[in-house]
Amino acid sequence: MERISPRQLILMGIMYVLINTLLSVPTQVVSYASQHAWLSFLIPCLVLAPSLWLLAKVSSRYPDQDLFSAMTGRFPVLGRVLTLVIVLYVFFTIARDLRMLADFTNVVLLQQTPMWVITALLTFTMFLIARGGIEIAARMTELSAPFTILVMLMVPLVMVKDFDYTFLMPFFEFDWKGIGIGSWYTFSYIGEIMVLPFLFSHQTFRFRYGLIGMLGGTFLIMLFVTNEILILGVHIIPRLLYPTYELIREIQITDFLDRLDLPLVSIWFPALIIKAAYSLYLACHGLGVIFPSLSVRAVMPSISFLAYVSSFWFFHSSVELLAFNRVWTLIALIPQILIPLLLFVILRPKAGNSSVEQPRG
Amino acid sequence: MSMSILTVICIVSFLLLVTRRELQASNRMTRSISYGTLFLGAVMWVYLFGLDRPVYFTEILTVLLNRFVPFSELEGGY
Repeated sequence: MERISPRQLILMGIMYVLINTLLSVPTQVVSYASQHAWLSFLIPCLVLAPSLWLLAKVSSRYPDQDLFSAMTGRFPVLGRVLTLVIVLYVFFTIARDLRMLADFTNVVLLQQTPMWVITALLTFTMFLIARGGIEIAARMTELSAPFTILVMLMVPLVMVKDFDYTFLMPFFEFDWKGIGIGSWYTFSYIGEIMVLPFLFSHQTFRFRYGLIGMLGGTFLIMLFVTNEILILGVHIIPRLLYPTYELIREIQITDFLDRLDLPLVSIWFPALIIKAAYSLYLACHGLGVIFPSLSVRAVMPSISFLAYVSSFWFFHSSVELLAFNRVWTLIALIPQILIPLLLFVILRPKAGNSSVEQPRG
Repeated sequence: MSMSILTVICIVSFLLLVTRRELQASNRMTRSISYGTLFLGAVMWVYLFGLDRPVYFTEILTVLLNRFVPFSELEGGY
């Protein structure tokens, strides 16, 4: 049984919601929702909270098991099919995160280095973290996440003197259609927190921890996107691939600290690799539940390699990666809404048997 | 084509070298899935970097699912 503290779990939740949503999603959201982009993050959070409650409720019916084990224990065939769906979903997010990070590194930091070298290094780091287990990843989160959160809270304070409040006007004229389309784009990113009950048993994962993580991550992203609007404006953000990075580049504290972007990126960067490592661990753990005799640790290098190749095969370019968010939400509805609903209805312990024997993984 | 094959041979060989002992000690199921996944990855790599214009996975998904998205691609936005 893994030993994860509530604080670590909340930080993991915040990282799931926040860390890759920051990079490019504001571009799409602001282009539709304009000055009310912050609402496009709040609406999916409110829609997904009941879904998270459903998963927590199902998890409480099997207090000693994570949801993968509970599903396959109760329904050997259907449970494995649903586990495979979640594993494929998580695998896609790993490939997407790797590609997103590699593209960013290639565009902003290492222009001369081939993409396949950058991605290989990122994949190797992710693999090493995941190989250590979820406890190691959670402890690493305790190091990286507080700094990331602190920076996100500090940036608006540093930039407040440059705010142009006219960018938020007209504040009371809501374009609900635009806000709705913006919410569609953010939905799948905020809903990534739904995988936590599949990773931890009810003894570790409680609804309130997941909710605090989701609300905390959503609040921070709303704060940051509003900050971007106040500094860059609603007309410039839709033309930028990495608006958050551009915002960070605007920070100037005295003359000798004018490249504050590099230290800030160095705080955000490991957080995203650690988040990808949770997902890798989860995908391998899911495979271990589907095939009980599988050694999760031994199969991890080959799954990492497949994620590495898939990060190239899935997306033609970083622009296509961003454009695919439109269709991706449709697929993400399955693990984020449909599966929680289905599990809530069908997954109950057999009468007189509160917990089913846990398969080896 | 030859460069892509050479690259993937190097990466897969490195992985096999690193995981050799662990795979030898593991059961048949683990070895099958590990080698199968490595083989699949290698085939995908050669397909991707060997062809002039490979079809990308998200292109297929976009064509299949585009009609189910509740708003048009051209509807406002960037």
